[in-house]
Amino acid sequence: MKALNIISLGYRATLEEQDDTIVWLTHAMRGAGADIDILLRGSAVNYVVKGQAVSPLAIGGREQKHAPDVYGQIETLSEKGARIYVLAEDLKQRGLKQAPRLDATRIVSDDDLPELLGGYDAVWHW
Amino acid sequence: MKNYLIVETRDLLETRDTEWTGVLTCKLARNKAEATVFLTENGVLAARAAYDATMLRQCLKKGVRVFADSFALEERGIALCDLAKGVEVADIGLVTDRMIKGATVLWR
Amino acid sequence: MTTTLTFALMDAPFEASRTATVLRLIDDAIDKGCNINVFAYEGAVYLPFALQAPHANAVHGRDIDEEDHPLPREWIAALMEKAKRWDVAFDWVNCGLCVDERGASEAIEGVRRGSPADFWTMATSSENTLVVGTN
Repeated sequence: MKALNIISLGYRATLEEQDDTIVWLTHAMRGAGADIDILLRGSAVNYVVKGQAVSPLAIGGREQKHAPDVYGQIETLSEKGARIYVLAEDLKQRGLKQAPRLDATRIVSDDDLPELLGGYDAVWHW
Repeated sequence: MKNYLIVETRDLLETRDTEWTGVLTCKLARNKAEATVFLTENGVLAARAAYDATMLRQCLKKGVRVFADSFALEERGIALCDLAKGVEVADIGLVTDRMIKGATVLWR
Repeated sequence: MTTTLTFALMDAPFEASRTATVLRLIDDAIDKGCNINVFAYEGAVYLPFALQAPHANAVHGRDIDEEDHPLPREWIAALMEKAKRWDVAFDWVNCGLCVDERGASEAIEGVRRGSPADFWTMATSSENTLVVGTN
């Protein structure tokens, strides 16, 4: 079974969780043998933008050892063979059309969605 | 023919992202897939005829069937006579039935 | 042949309308004779939390018995019972790491601890899977 995870909301609880939890879930499922790709849309398109960094958060002196690295999470996912699709319209609306981004990114437009979605046995919108 | 059901739970005016529900379903319909929108929770607010629901009107124009959850309509005091032309009423069982028939269901 | 449906949930109890809507959907699916799998991710691991407790409602002038407030864990237990009556399977898996970080280890009977691999197994052995994400 081939599945496509659509991730629409970026940076939701990523500081607390130290990960984007759906990207993490995708990693975990791929580790269990799943054939899953991702489509980033909405604010999640920012995940492929180069140059983002989070300093480990310290609250009340309690310091976080592993700050989230959503770009890195996506990069590693692509290195493991997952296809990383990003919606062109959402990049454009957010002024990211020309922004340096992850090389492995596959840009798709809304017009491409019927064919893209049709190529998967399961499409899950998180 | 591929079959899609998009469940829209959010108020169309409160969340601009709901526009993509319309974009996606219209694109799917144009590509000869069966595309349906099921409004539930605050999504049914847009089912009122008096609501400024451009996205819904566009869906209906493109042949997308739009259903509103009867439970959510009642919860919000939206009577059948208040509904926009073309919006149909169904209960949550429509989602179950589509799932059983193998539709791709996206929850938004 | 019985249809098996899988649901992935994310919301903690009492935070989103989605929870009640999805439980209504699962209830309907059981009525239609479907086997049910639920993968509870993140906050949803608290839905079957055993230590949820009812309360009175002074604003409405109701004591604890009069209020009789159904808790999510009771709804889930009721769905499990209904599934038994209908002779369909009902498998609820709480994502283990989500349970750990939230301290939600005490779940009602019938809930088992699992991992994302379980979600994949559920999805690949079902006729259909619905993901109900959060925001």
